[in-house]
Amino acid sequence: MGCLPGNVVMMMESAPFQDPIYLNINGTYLAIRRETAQQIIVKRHG
Amino acid sequence: MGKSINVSLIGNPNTGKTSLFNRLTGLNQKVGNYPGITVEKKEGICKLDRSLKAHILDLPGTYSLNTSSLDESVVVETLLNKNSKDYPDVAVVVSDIENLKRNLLLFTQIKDLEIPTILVINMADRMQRKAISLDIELMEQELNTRVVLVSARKNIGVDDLKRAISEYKNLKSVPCVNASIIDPEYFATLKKAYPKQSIYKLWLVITQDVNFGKIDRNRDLEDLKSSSFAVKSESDLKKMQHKETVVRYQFINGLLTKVLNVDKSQAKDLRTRLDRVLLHKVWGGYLIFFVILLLIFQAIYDWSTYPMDWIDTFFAKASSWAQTSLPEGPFTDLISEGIIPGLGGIVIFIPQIAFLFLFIAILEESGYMSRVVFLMDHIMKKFGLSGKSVVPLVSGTACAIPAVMATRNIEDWKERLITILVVPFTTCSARLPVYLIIIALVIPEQEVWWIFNMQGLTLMLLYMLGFGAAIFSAWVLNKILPIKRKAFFVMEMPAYKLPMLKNVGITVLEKTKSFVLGAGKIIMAISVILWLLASHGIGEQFTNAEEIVKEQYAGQNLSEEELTNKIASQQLEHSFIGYIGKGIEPAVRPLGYDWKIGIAIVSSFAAREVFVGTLATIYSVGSDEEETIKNRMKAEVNPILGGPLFNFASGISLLLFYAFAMQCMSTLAIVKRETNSWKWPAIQFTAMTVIAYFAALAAYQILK
Repeated sequence: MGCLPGNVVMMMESAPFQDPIYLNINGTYLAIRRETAQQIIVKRHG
Repeated sequence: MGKSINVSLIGNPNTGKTSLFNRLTGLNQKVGNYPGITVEKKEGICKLDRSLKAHILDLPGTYSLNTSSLDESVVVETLLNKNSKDYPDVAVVVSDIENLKRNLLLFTQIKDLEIPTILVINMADRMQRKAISLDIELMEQELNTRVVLVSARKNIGVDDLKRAISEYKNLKSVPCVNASIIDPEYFATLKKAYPKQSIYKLWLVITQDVNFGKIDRNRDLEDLKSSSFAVKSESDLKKMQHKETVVRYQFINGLLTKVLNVDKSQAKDLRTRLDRVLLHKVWGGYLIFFVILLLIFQAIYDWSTYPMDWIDTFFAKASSWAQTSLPEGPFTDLISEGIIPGLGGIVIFIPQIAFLFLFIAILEESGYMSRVVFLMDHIMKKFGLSGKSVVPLVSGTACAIPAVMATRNIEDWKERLITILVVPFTTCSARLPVYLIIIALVIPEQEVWWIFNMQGLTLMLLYMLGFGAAIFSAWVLNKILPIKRKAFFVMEMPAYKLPMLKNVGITVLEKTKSFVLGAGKIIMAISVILWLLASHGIGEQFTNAEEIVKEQYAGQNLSEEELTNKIASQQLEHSFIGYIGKGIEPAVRPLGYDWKIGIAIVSSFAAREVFVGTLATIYSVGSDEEETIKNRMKAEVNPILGGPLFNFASGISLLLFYAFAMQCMSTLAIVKRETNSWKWPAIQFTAMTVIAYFAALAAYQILK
């Protein structure tokens, strides 16, 4: 479980107060806190 | 007798591993603990054919063999220790068709340990709906293993799996990913030093403690850690682990492009649509959760009244039957006044506990509980808790013991410790009998707003008080505990699914059984001890009670029955328990209690539910057996002020005392185990008791 370089990240939902957020990373649905999500560097894909 | 082989079920959380375990073993299972730690161990027997049985071990859910928690260490331990009696002849790795990519990571690791491995792809019934197709034959070739498509929920493919297990001798135990390419030189020297071992096993032993090292073990390769192979630094090892994961994902991605085909046009699925409503930002999320909780509590209160009334009546009848039909003597007294009321005090719980566990199991099974965790995390974080604390806090309404154990998946130690410390404030089912009887005595039965009744609302308020106390003390603890908080949080959001009757049923049965048997022993023992203390005494006043009373009321022409009651209460007052009660009376008088309630409170420091049983024992000693306990309490008179002893003020005071006090030895024991010191349970016990005493004191003094 986790996020590795090159994985596709998709935003699903965010909880009230925009935290935590709910992502689809590499086909896995994960909820993580904003502080953790800030560690992921993303590039927009279409 | 046939042959028996060891099968380990291994898989990521949420892959339906437990459903499959239930399918394979049915009710033929037992739940225990791994020695020395509180990780649950589930085992069962499955008959494969006439001559072969499988002993199936359901290992805790794990994402990989690079351990980061206690649950995961258990899995690694089992797979690394060839001398263990649980070491598998076959490993069955359970995966979920929709999460194959991630699930296969664990599979490749286990396969590389050179253990005969079968890959189960579960939830195969969804393939058509999700437009997924899979080339099984090619997959079996590439992975060098057997692949079985299964739907544990619909009972498809389970027989194929049994057949595959029984043909375990044909499985090839060869690795599938060559992990040594991350550092060929290092692995080559390793292989030279231990030519007989699987190279990946050596690597796991070396890296086992890098992320998590808190488990006792006894194994053949212990010398490896102190050898020259441990020269690499922890950060080097972590980097290598990271590389290993990348290598494994490269292999898996390559495999899946060949064998798996998903038609992505069906993107809008159930998950997206349900999440939009259940996680609605403005109104939906919290409102739905609150309504669900309200319905659950109202249902428990309404539905369980009927069976509880039957149980109450049944035990009152049984007690008077024993009294009249058995030969007179101390043994009959023990049965009719000690054992039967004690037993009744246990059985009366079953309806509520079963309903609570039922609802919690449904919420967990459906995937909704994870959404609640998600919704609550931000708020809980402010109070020093984690969103994952919601699960312990909600299951704490059934029993604090499984709730304390459910804190294990909270990553941050401070958040976890605070959750453990505040969980006993939530209204557990042991408080319910106390609440129910007091509410019935002091709160009028009245309809409010057409659908609710006063008594139900009072109960709801008590639940909210419990949560409130938990949240508030968490906030205080977060401020005063000198522990650094890392505030790390990860949770998988499982797919929504209809709860499976079989899984829910087995959970309810198991939990109710273990709770009733566990708590039951204590209640039973205390009931008998109380009866002994109440029916024995020393000194003139006790042994000559009959003469003393007869002399006292000599001229008053009392009826036979009145005289018997006077004698009984004279004896009770001067029995051992009478002296204990009288001894603590000064301490509980300001709270509005008499010495009998005092005894009940003291005895419920072992376990709260003993309260009702104790009063039952105390009152039935020397009272008419036909009366049930509630009517008996109603008739009690306050010896000083006159009027009913259980009035509004003393009732509320008792409710508050039970809401806050830490009266459960089993919970203290489990807290000690989970925090690994007596310090925390001691702090917890003292603080909660002090709070309870002063809350009850304030309530009685203001309301009286």
